[in-house]
Amino acid sequence: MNQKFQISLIESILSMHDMSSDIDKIQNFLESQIKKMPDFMKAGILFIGYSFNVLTIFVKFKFFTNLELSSKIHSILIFKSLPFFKIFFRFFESIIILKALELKC
Amino acid sequence: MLRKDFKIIVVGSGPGGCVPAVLLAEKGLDVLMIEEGSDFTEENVSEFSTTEMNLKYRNAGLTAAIGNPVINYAEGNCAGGGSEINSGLFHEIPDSTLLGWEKKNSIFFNRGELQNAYSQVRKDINVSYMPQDKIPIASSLLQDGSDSLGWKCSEVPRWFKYDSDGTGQKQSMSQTFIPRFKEAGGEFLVNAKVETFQKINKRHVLNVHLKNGMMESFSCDYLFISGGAINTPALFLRSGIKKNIGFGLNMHPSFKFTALFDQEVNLPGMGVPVHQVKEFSPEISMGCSISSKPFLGLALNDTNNLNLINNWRNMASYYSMICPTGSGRVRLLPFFKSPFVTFFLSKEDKINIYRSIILLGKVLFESGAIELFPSSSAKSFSSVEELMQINNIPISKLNLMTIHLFSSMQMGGNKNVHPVTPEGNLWSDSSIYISDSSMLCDSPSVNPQGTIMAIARMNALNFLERIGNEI
Repeated sequence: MNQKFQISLIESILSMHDMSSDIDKIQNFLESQIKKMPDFMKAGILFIGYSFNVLTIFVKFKFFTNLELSSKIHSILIFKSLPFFKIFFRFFESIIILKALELKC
Repeated sequence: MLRKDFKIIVVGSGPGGCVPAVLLAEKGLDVLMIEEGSDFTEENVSEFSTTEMNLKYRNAGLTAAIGNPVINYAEGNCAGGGSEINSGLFHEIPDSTLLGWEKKNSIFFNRGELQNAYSQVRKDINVSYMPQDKIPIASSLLQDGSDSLGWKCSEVPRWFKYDSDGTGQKQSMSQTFIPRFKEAGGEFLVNAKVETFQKINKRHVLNVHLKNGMMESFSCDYLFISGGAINTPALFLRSGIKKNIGFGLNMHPSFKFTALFDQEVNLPGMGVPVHQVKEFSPEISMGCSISSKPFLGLALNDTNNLNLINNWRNMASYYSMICPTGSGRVRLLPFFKSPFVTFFLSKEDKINIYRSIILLGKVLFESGAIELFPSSSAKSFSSVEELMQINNIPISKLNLMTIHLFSSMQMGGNKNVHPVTPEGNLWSDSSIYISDSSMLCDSPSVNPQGTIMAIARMNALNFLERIGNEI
């Protein structure tokens, strides 16, 4: 999962929750979490991540990473209700919110 | 340069591994203790922080048992194992639960020996009560609510040392047993993962992956395996030993409410409150949970109420925990290295989960909570009547978690079913001991660490007697 995709997700999720934070620190935390997670879960997360980036072409005619922020958020809201993608977004939201709130403390 | 041959090797430095390691090293035996994680004793890692998750938790805390529902679990992966990341609550197994173990697994525990072991463990890790003026409000409120309902609720002692101003220091393995082990001449190797082991010419040969990427072999006469309920069976499976291994896994699934009060109940660095409701034990227990702002935020997001986080000082997290009759397995998947864990709740467990949630809600409303935010995608509840709607939420929508896992390699009297003898060694090889939560016969119905340490001590003393005779 490349850095650009991770940063796009972080910016979108923070914006969805009206939060602002140090995106680099959150991305470092996210990266380390993905690196350390069990290998079969990592395979699933990476597969769903790539699928999401590609599938947004069918909804927004662009890769997720190339969308405007509002379209990114809209894409997330569409995919968030689908099976498997729901787990994917819950994982990202949890990591991002946890780190963002910790940085605020 | 570390030697390669030892009399005894202990794999894992959690409470189950440290107890025999210290006992044996203090008797002058040649012991190596191998730990997969790092040693953070000298580093200041904030409790319940994301840094702690990354450094001290296995897989950075991202572990889950697959079933209906998925249950997230957390394990320690550092010097000191689970004792470094848990809340330090000390319990002894209730006698009714012990009787159940004995009947189920055809085993007998000498009550006198067990009590002696508990007493020694209590001294070793300084089990004590929190100074009364330091008890958090969130904890006292649970006591008040229970008193009002006429339910049993009490403070649980912890392995903590308190100084004159009431500041507590957890007496985890890195503060207690590991320094004793080193002082007694034991060798401690960290950042070293035992990939497999095999028996060659009556000695155990362990293939160990070191931090620098090299593989080294270490050998011993006797092996104590203390990798925890998931990684102990996984090590056996990787080593090609499969009979009866990894079955019967059990855990304490927990559900959480974030409770909103009309007064301040939370402070930065409050730590873990210490009261538990025991009115419905052993089936159901309730207590307070870690309530730092980031963790409350996570919980609030489940119900789309993250916008309320600024009110976090009026909030605290509480859990209800069940003692299930369902069971799980630890297996290895083709092409993957991480152990694959499953756990399935029985019909009775699912009923108990809902019952436990309603009971927790009742006591929290009685304690003065004005709104409860469940760890599920359901809406919040503001009365006991509304709370009954929890029964309409499918179990798959409830976010359950646990930090208590056990019984994946049970001690028992039937060698066709139980991999471990009542003395703690394998039925198939008396020179291999299991010394962690995997050996427990079933749920202890309380925090298992005290019981793991007590049984590990009894088994290590029996081992000393046995090898004394052999020598």
